[in-house]
This record gives sequence, C-alpha cells and structure tokens, in this order.
Amino acid sequence: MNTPLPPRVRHHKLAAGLLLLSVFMFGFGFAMVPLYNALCRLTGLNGCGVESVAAAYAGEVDYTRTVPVQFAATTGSRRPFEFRPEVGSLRVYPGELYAANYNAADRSSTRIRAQAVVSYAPASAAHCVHKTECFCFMQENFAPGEVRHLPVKFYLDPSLPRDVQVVTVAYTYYKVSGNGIPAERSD
Amino acid sequence: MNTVAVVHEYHAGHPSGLWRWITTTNHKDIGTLYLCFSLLMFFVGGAFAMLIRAELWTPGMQLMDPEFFNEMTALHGLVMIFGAIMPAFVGLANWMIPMMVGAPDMALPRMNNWSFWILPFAFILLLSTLFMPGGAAGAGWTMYPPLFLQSGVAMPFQVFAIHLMGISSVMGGINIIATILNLRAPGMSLMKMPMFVWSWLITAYLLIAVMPVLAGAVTMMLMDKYFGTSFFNAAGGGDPVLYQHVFWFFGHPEVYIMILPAFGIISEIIPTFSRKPLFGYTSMVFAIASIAFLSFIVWAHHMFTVGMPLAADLFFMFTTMLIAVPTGVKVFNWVATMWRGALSFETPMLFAVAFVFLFTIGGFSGVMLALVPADWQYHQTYFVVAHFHYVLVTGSAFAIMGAVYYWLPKWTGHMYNETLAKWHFWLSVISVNVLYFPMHFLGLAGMPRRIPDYPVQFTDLNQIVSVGGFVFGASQLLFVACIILCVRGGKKAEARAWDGAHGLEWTLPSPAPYHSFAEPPAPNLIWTHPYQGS
Repeated sequence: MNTPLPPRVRHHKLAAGLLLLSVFMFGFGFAMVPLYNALCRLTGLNGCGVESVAAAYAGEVDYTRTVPVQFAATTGSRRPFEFRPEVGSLRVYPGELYAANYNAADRSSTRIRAQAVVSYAPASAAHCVHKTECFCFMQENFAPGEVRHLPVKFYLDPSLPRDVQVVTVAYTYYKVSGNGIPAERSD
Repeated sequence: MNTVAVVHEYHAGHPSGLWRWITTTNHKDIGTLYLCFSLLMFFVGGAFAMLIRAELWTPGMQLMDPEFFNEMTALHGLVMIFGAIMPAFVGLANWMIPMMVGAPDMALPRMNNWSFWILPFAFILLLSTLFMPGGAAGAGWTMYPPLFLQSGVAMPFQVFAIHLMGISSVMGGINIIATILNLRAPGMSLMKMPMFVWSWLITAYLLIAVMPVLAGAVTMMLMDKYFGTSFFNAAGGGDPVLYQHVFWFFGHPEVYIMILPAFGIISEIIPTFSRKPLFGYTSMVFAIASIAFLSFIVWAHHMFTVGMPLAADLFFMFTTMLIAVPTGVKVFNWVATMWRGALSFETPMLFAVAFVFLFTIGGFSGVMLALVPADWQYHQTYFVVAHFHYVLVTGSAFAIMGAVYYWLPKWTGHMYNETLAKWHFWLSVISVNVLYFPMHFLGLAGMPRRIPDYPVQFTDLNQIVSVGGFVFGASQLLFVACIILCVRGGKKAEARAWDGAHGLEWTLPSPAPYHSFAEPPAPNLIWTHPYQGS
C-alpha cells in the first residue's frame, strides 16, 4: 500500500501517556479499598474500625439518663442455623458495663466455621459502643447440632450524643469461606 | 469550491470479501463495522426487552421462571450499554472524526482494527453464559455482590467479557484522543473543532479514566470468589457497599460517556436544519467539560439508601443538582439556535427536536431523583427505570438514529427514503412515550424494578407499557429497512447533502471516498463559527 500520507506524526508519546493513565486508574480502583476503610474508620460507618477489644471503663458513669440498646441477629446464609439474642433490649446507663448473651445453634449435619460481623445504628453511635468481650472477635467452630452461648460485654461511652434515642447492635453470622479454609468439612 | 485532494477508490491488491473486513485498518470500514455490530446488538438487547415486557403483560408467572427473568434484565442492560449505545458512538467517531478534522485516517489504525474485533468475542463470551449450567448471571447490569458472587459458572465468563469490553473501549479512547490532538488539519484550532469532535475528545478521556475502574471492581469480585480474598465479602471483613462505591465511581461517568457524544450530534444537526450557527459555541464546550468534571464527584447519588452519613448525602445531593446547570446551558443553547431559524424538519431534525424535549424530561426526573428524601421513595422502583430510559433511549438512541439519517447520504452517496424515515420517527416517538411515560406512575405507585411479577392493581399500566414496547420494537425494523434501501440506491446525494450543513465532511464527495484528506484540506475550507472570529 502506498497511500500518499502526510509527514508521519508520532503518536507513541501521547498513546503511552494515555495508556499509563488507564493503568493508573485500574490501580485507583483497588486503592479505593484502603481509602474506603480509612473513611469508615474516620466516620465509624458500618462499624468499621471500632472492632477492637476495649479496655475496661474507669471513668464516671452517667446516671442522669438511660439509653435503650436493642440487639438484633441475622444469618448470612440459608443454612439451618439458629441465632438470636437472649434479651431483645436493655436500658443502660452510659459508662456502666453490661453483659448480653446470644444463642446460636447449628441444625445441619456438617461442621461449620462461622464468624459474626457486627454493625451499629445510628452511625453516630458506632464510636460509643465499646466491647470488652465479644464472640464476634473470633471465628467459631460448630459441630453438627451444637448449641452455643455467646457472651458480649459492653458499655456505652458517656460521650454518646444526647440526640441518640436508641442504639441498635446487630450481628450477622456468616459461614467462613475463603482464606484457604474449606467452608464445610465433614470430618 | 476547491475539491479535495487525491481520491483513491481502491488499491491494487486490496483484500476483498470477508478478509477485507477482518484485516481492514480504514476508519470508514471500521466505523461501518462498529455501526453494524451495534445495530445487531440493539436487536439482541431489544429481544431481551420484548421477553421482559411479555412476561410483565399480566401478573403472575407466565413465560419464564424468575431466575431467567433476572438474567434477561441483566443482559438487556449489559448488551444495550456496552453492545449497542457505546459501539454506535465509537462507530460514528470512527467514521466522522477523521473527516471532520481533515485527517487521512485514525491516528493508530491497527489498534483501531483490534479495538473493534475484540468486541464480537466479548459479546459471544457474554451471551454464551445463557447456555451454561445455571444460566447467565442474573444480578443486574450493576453486578452487585453478594448476589453476583452467588452466580454459578457464568460469573467468570461475564467478568472476562467485561474485561474485553473495557480493553476495547480504552483502546478506542486512546485512538480518538490521538486523532483529535495530533491529526487536525492546519488551521483547525481546538476552538474551531465541530461540537461532535469536542464531545468525543472529552468522552474519550472519561473512557480511559473509568473503564479501568470497572475492570478493577469486577476483578476484585473474581478474586473474592476464586482466590479467597474478602474485598466485598462481609464474612471476611469486607464490605459489599464498597463495591457499590467502586462500581458507581465508574458508573456515573459511564452515563455521561453515553450522553456527551449525543450532545455533540445534536449540536451538529440543529444548526444545520435551523440554518443558523450553533448558539453559544464556547459555552457549549465549557458545559461539556464541566459535566465531565462533575461526573466524578456525584457517584454516590446512586446509593442514597445504603446508609451514608448525612453530610455525604448532602454533598452528593448538591453536586448532583449542580449538573442541571451546565445541562440547562446546553438545552437553552439548542433552543436559542432554533429561535428564528429557517427551520425545516427532515428526519434528523425530527430526532434532534424529540431529543431536546424528551431528554429534558429525563433530566427533570433526574433532578427529582437527586433529592435525598424523595429518592428514598423512588429508589429501586420503575420511576428510576423511566428516568434512565428517557435519557438513554430518547436521549442517546434517538441521537444515534438522528446521526445515522444525517450522515447516511455521506456514507452511501444516496438520500434515504424520507417518507419511510418519517414513519420510523413518528412510530418511534409515539410508542416510546407510551412505553416509558407510564413507568413514572408505576414507580410512584410503588412497583419495584427487576421483578417478574406484580400486584394486580398495576396490570393496566403494565399492559400499556408492554404495548408501547412491542410497537417501539417493531418500529425499529423500519429503521433497518431505511438503512438497507439507502445503501442499495436512492436519489443521488450531493457533496453537501443538507444545504445548511457546515464542516469539512461536507466538502468531500458523497459517498465519501475510501481514502479522504490524504493531503490536509486547504485552511480556507475550515468553517469558522461567525461568533468565534477568525
């Protein structure tokens, strides 16, 4: 082919720059993960970043008000897995340590490893729920048919905003898959 | 007028038949391939829509099981967005941009061939999932986890299809930017470029910036399913809402990728048939640029109901409503262009005027959806379906149809059959409103999206919608008839097929020769907008 072409323009530099931009944006997609987590930690959104074990509270207990704390429980899979709180709600003094128990029972015929994930509502209260002990800190193994009592010890920070009328603590139990651990083992 | 340089019809040894189309690096051939492919996909996606409307004819389950219905809504969206609208715009860019800027071809012709030929494989891969055990992934075009993660073997195939479409779009975008920035004829400064070229320059940057983000999002999902990561898996400490953020960071610029070239087309058609220069050329350029910028900071308005902090809701609400300003500038400029013009209503103009009316309706429902408290009611209902079909069908698709009628004489050398084309227009514009307008009411009354069944009180409106859908679908056969008849013959088109048309493409004979502007056009051929100075 010998089409009379104008003097050749070099496109390589521009094309390479644009290609680099697309590679950068591919990376940016992944960079949104730590960015999002940092933002959640900053705002307490979705209970992110407030999942550590809290030290026992040593400050003043605020006896001037009580706040209702509701407990919710759901399961993240269709397994025959029962999971519910022993008490639906408690009225608590901010600053005082309380214990709440959940019960879980696996009604299937196989072993399961499961992990509970907590979330709080409203988001503005998320920073103020401190747990000194919680079953959600670790994975639990359930033998077929096993029933477990799952303890939570928590207190509300007295800095809880006064406009928060009720705090909801919701746990979802998930079957653990991934991380190389088989989801269900029949040993 | 000075006729254009050397005109080659065909080269000796130029391959013919199928091989010609497979190996071609000619921008006109590749443009034709893109346009034919998108027309085919328009009918594939349309067939899925017809099945959806048939199932929704009466309450209860008639024709399909709910899983298949979900597969239809998911594939309808994916095929129409990535298979019909986007390739049609890229095809128009391929055909028209080199001719509009006085370039001999696209800047990177071999890559151009590659960007097209990836697409058929991507869609074979995507559509093949329908025949896999467990069927296609029925998680909507947005592919939200955890539902998408629960799809069967179809999921990785769909992810790879998305990767291929992304690679094709990014290569297309690079090519378009290189063509516009490097190959403009001497004398054509950026602010003398036709609006269609401007709109594509900005769209191409959006493509390069966001298609890789989508690729990243679906790659993370693939890793969650097969490599044990937990990006979006709550059980492993991930967050499904994070996917929505990543997806819509792509998704919102994506909706502008599908409308900015349409703005460009309308800004070409309306001045031609108003016989007046485009009103406010400079403000049109800045409006497109500011819409493109805003598109990056409004993504979370698609997810007001996920429970974001109030401050975030407010930020995304106000930035979203801000988009109405540059969009309003464009709509008013089009109206001002028509004002006191010597208007004539050939089919391209009819589509352009319908675009201005109906796209604006979609824009208004968009402003309603931008209001956080109102959105909580509209979210995930047919109101949203009505909104985005007004902007995508009577917006993007109507602009594409207008563009096809506008430039068909240039492509084929024949005028299309005006009577048949007007039938196509009027049937389409009436049926499309019968199809989408009642969806607003269904949504306000509470009918959710993406369900195969509904309570009986919604039956009447759904039947009206379905009738509109069937008529609109059938009307598109007239579109195909118009194109085929025009390719095969018709009144001979002049070089300047429309007497009000300006721009370098109209200085070429009709049909445009296989190689054009082998030597750059003389600077005096470049049309200068009268308000721009020279």
